[in-house]
Amino acid sequence: MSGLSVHGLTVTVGGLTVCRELELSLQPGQCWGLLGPNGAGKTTLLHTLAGLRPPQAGEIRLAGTPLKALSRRRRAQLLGLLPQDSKDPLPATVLETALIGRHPHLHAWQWESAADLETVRAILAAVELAGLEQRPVDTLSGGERRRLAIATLLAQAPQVYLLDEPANHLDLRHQISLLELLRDRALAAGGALMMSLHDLNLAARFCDHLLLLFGDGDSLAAPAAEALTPANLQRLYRHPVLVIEADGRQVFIPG
Amino acid sequence: MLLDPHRSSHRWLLCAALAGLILASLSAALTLGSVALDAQAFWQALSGQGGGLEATVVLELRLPRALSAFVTGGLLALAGALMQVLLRNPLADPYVLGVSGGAAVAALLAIMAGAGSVWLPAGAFAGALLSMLLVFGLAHGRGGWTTSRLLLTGVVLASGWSAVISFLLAIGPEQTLRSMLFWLMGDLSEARWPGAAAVALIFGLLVAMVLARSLNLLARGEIEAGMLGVAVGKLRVALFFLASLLTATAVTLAGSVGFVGLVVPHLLRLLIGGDHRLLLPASVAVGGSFLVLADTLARTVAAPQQLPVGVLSAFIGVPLFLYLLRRSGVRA
Repeated sequence: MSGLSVHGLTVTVGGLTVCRELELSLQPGQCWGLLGPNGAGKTTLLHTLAGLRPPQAGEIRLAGTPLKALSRRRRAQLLGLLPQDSKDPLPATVLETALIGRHPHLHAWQWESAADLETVRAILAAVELAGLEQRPVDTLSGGERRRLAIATLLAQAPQVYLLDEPANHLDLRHQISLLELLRDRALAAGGALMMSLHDLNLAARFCDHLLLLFGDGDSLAAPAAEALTPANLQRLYRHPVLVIEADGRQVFIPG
Repeated sequence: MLLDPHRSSHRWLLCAALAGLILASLSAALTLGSVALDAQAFWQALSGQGGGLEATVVLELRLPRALSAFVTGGLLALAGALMQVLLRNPLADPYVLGVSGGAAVAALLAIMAGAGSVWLPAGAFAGALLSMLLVFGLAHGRGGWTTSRLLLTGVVLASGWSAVISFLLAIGPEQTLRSMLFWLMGDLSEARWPGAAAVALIFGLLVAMVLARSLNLLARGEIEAGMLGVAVGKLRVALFFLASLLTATAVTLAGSVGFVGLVVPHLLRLLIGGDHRLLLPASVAVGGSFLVLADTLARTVAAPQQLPVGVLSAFIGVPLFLYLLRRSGVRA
């Protein structure tokens, strides 16, 4: 099967248990939200799922094959990660940066083809960075850089998208438009997503499933409607959360 | 940026410009000097027809020295470009991890001991290797191999070496002091045919070209590179050893020539962009040509007095670099 599946996964970092014997299945067509308080280990879990660090126990399978057994190139074709922050100490242009997403689709000595360039230019236009192609990355604003990182991930075009706080630095309109773009592209290609978020309203709007990390090793994986209860959220953030109905939607505000 | 790396016409233009630069710098190095040659005499000397003084000067003095300068500059610029990616820091240069310090200590000891011209380069190379292994061993501790840990280990070790260098200069006998100082400033007046070093440069460039696209990814970040299929750990170890070996070879050839390794790759990043498939060969060509020109000046401006090439490379390079940096800042 395609997608990402996790069996008996235990992840610890620096004395903190992020999750204990987690069972999870990210199936094609699903959009998962990853919620948890600061320091609960959301990034660590995403990095573990991405194969950047080994779990303490358990198995991660990507498209039916154990993650460890896949070649790096194959894994990069199937799985992509949007890191929480990107630093750019060495100068590069916007176009160069987005083009590195094509790396796993090229052979060792191959240059990016005209088709690759075309694809990447179209993606830059889709994240509203058209016209900035030759700009040095260090002259971009925080939100523009975030859109560039998303463009690089879209150029990679994996099957499974792991997004670490994708809404960071984005203004209200871009939060909606870019999360829509990511979700629509991933799902249209038969892929799946998991995104860590701090905004419950974005989670409710975009995610059909949620994984809650309570910070003590306990976790809850459930359809969004089941997971987003005031009791769960109070336990998650150790702060009351009010749920209001507005315009036919549930809106979450701190109590 | 002047160049679009995805247009093959631009890539050929770059190749032609670099080839022209190399030829121009070598011609200058071969014709200028105490025996100045016009074009005709130069060609006769080069083809071995002229005979006599001109042929000796060109083929036995100037050509080996110019090639040594080219190889040294190429090695340093390539090592600098690699080191900047390894440390993800545009301020990194080939010497930042203390390789030249180890070489210098060994070389100064060899000079003080009155060792011959075979032992001096051998000692310098051994010192560079020792320093490189020391940095690698100390930085590769249990906590893994982070960039800042590697940088700190190298920088601290380098300042340790520089204290030893000062100590050796303080206690060094009067009559060896001048050659010790010249070695430290980088000097090509003793240069011979750079056979082994040239092989090291070609080998280094070939390996670096194989890694070039991965370097583009690592330059953007370790996580990004790892997620796009780069074996980051192995790549960093390979980069460390490759850059250190190139530096050790350059230091062995000409002492510690400053400035080329820091500035040439950085300058090229501003001019032709950050794609290492173009940046690495361009660094070799520009770094090499730059040092050939600097060395030509070093032996002509104050003739018959010869200056250390390291001094000249900084004299030319500093204003040039500051000008370009300022210009690029205005445009951005």
